[in-house]
Amino acid sequence: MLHIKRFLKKSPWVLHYNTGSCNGCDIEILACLSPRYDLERLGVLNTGNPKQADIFLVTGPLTHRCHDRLLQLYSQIPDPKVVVAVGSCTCTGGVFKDMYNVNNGIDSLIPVDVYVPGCASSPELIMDGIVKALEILEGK
Amino acid sequence: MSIVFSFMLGFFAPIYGGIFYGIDRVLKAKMQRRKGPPVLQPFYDMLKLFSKTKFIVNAPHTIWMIFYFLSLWAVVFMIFFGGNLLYIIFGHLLATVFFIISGYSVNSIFSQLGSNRKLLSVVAYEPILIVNAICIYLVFGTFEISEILAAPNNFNSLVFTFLSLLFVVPTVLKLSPFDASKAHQEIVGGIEVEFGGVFYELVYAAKFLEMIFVYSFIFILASNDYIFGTFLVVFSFFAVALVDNSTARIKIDSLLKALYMYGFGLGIVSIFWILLCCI
Amino acid sequence: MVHFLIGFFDFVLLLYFMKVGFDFKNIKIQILALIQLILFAFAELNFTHSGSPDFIIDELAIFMMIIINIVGGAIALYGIKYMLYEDAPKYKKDIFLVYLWIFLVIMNFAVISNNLLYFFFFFELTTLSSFLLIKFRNDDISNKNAINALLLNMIGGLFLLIAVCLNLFTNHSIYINEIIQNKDYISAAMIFVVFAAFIKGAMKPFESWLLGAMVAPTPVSALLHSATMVKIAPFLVLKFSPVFSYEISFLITLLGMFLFFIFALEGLGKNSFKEILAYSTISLLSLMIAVAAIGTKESYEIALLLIFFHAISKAILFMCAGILEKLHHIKSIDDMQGLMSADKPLALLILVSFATVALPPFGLFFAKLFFVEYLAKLIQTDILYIFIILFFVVGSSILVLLYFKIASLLLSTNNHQQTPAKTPLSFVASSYFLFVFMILSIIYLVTTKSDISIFSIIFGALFVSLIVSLFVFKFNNLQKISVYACGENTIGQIGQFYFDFEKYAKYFLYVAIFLWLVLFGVSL
Ligand code: SF4
Repeated sequence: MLHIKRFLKKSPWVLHYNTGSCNGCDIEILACLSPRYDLERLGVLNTGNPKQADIFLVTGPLTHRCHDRLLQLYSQIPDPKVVVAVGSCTCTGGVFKDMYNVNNGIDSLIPVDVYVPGCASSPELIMDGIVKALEILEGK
Repeated sequence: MSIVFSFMLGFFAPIYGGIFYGIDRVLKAKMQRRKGPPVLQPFYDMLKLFSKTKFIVNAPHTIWMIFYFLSLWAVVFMIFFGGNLLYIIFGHLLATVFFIISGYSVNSIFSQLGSNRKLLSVVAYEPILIVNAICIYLVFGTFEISEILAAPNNFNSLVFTFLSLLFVVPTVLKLSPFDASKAHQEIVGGIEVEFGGVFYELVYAAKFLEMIFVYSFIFILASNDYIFGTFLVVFSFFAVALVDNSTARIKIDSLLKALYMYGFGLGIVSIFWILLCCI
Repeated sequence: MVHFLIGFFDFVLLLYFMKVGFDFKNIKIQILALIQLILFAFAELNFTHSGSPDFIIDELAIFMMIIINIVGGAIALYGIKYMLYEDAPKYKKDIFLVYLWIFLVIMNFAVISNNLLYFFFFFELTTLSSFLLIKFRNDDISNKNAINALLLNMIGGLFLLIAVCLNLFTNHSIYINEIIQNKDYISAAMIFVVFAAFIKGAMKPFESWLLGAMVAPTPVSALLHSATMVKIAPFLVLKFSPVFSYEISFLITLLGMFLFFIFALEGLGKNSFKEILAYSTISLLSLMIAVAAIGTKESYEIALLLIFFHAISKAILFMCAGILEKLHHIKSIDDMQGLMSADKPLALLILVSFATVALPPFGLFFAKLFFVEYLAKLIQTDILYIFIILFFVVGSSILVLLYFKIASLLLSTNNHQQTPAKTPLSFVASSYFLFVFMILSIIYLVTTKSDISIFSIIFGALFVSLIVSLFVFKFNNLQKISVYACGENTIGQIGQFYFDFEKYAKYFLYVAIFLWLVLFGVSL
């Protein structure tokens, strides 16, 4: 029997969603795809479509307005899936912590598998996070 | 070519077509000075997609798409069995219409937009394909691929046909600048947007089949000179990848204009060229 | 005796047209009727019997009669059911149905008559019955369109009569079989017959009568568009095409092909379902005339295929349009949204009928396929046919666009939920009957032409299994998921795009008229 689960690791497709970040981390995520870091060599594809994604890259402190959308997107990703929270504000609220319109990180709403700290987190960190996520994905 | 061999070629087309797709991705990455994914990446993707949970939006949507894949596969079979060029073109049209209807049968904005654009791009490239098939007929006196492949090389007369086919290739494969029907950053892949898991794999594999479909048109231009035919295919592969990397997407109405003006125009020039200068 | 009767009734008919002209105070009709009366009197006086029979039942006639009676019969039966939903007094409904049958009888006679004078009589009778049928609802717009149809068709009649008189005047035969035997004889008279055919076939600038016919109850449109009336046009051209000189046949083909393209283009801007169907009819009709005019053995067969399968497909589509109108109260394609969920069999029938007009492995498609193959042969000897190819390939793709953009509205599911309705079987029975008839004829066609057999078996099997699986598979075991809308819960409204070529219509018209004039000039 061929272990097709093994190949989950080899082709992680990414959905990137911004829950009200300052855009700092988003730019770093895009930088990962650029020739210098070239995430695609790991098979990563930025699909922009939850139905074809495996890794959910979320940035931002989760403003109240993003609540439903985040849930909707999360529920549209077929299993197995992992969630990567990129940036300090996504993990804990970061600089936005305890503001009137934020939820202090997305793990109050959906389960997070990998936390990538840094404000903004560097491309290297993000790639480390994704590689970590791949290991988790394989186990799922 | 023996029947068994043709059958094998047709049967495994969705599998080995993946290699071409992988090469394509590496090539594009290299052009951007990236390392790019492994060549076998499409297979990893395929196996991954098999292991995902199956989601569907509604049953007809999925069924139409499955039949798109099946008819496209049948078309590829016909190519390897040396069938009639016109039947192949129209079979492909039928398959495409299935796909378009699949896109229409969900209530998703992106899917509907994608279908509309795909329909328009069909209107743009279908006449060019037929005119080029007529050109091929004028040169070789037959529409049967098996007979064309046995005929002596006469590429001089088909230069303009080749040029006009170069406009069709990116349109069928939905590559830049003629990728308005897919437009990944704009309408999230158009018709493809609502498929996930195994069903997306079918759409994915259909891309390989489309590739085989359109490059086989280029291959037969060289008739019995297979080496030259391979060269033509490789050349157009490079050219298309280069153009895909270096141009921006044009709007669907500009696509129509461009294809009619250049692609169709070159097709007509080709007819004149063949009739007036070569016979 | 027969001759006397026909002559007598023709006079009565023309006098009736005169009366209609007075009733509606339409001076043009009065003048036309008057001229026709005079010419007809002239023709009757100069007419002498030659040895030829007045009626000939040849292969073409039998072929036409099969179409007229099977397709027309199915439509007339459908009319009975349709009329139950129509809002009109009982006796009027009955009269309407009687008209339908009489119409069919007239058509049968028209295709077998060999004497041009007799043919003229039946030609005028079809004009009359279409006038009466279009007028049926008797409101302003019906009357206006009926008068328009009468007027334009009388011009056609006049052309026919001129042809007869010219023939008589130059001491030529007016028996069709004698005319087409005499290969070197090409007269200006012939071109008038062709013009009469053009008008019946609703070619530009005379298309308005057929487009206007859609105000009548739907069986009328179905009958006019598919089985009867308009089919006289390709029929006439087919009859006379063996004697056309090269220039004439090429020019007719060019004109027809040009209009094939133009009408398809103009149809893109319409949003009423019947109007779209009407445009596709006149478009395909021009194609038939164009193919028929080539006048070789191959083109003859292709034209027959086109006529046959077009009649069936259009009859089914128009019958569906009637059901939509009466049962679902849908006229515009914008209202069609949600039909797939409301009435799946009907929606699928419409969709498949679209496929029968444009896609493999159905009859009309094969006709087009053979035509491309034939054109590829023709162009080798004559480079001028390149224009024909251009218009043909572009026009065919535009027709695909024209049909399948409707599919978008037909299939969209959620918004505009319609109440589910079931179409009674008796209403769709004729459509199903015709559909089966078409499938049988395709099977027959495939068995006679071996080179298309594998192709059509493969795609036929695909089609059948597709339809079956649409009904059978529901994928209940799979998880359903909502559509992707960037995480939003709202769902967008779906519309359809239109292309408006209205501003070019003028130029299209000029080109068409120019081609008519060139045609006329060349024939002299
Ligand atoms: S972590 Fe910092 S840089 Fe990143 S999105 Fe949040 S606030 Fe911006």
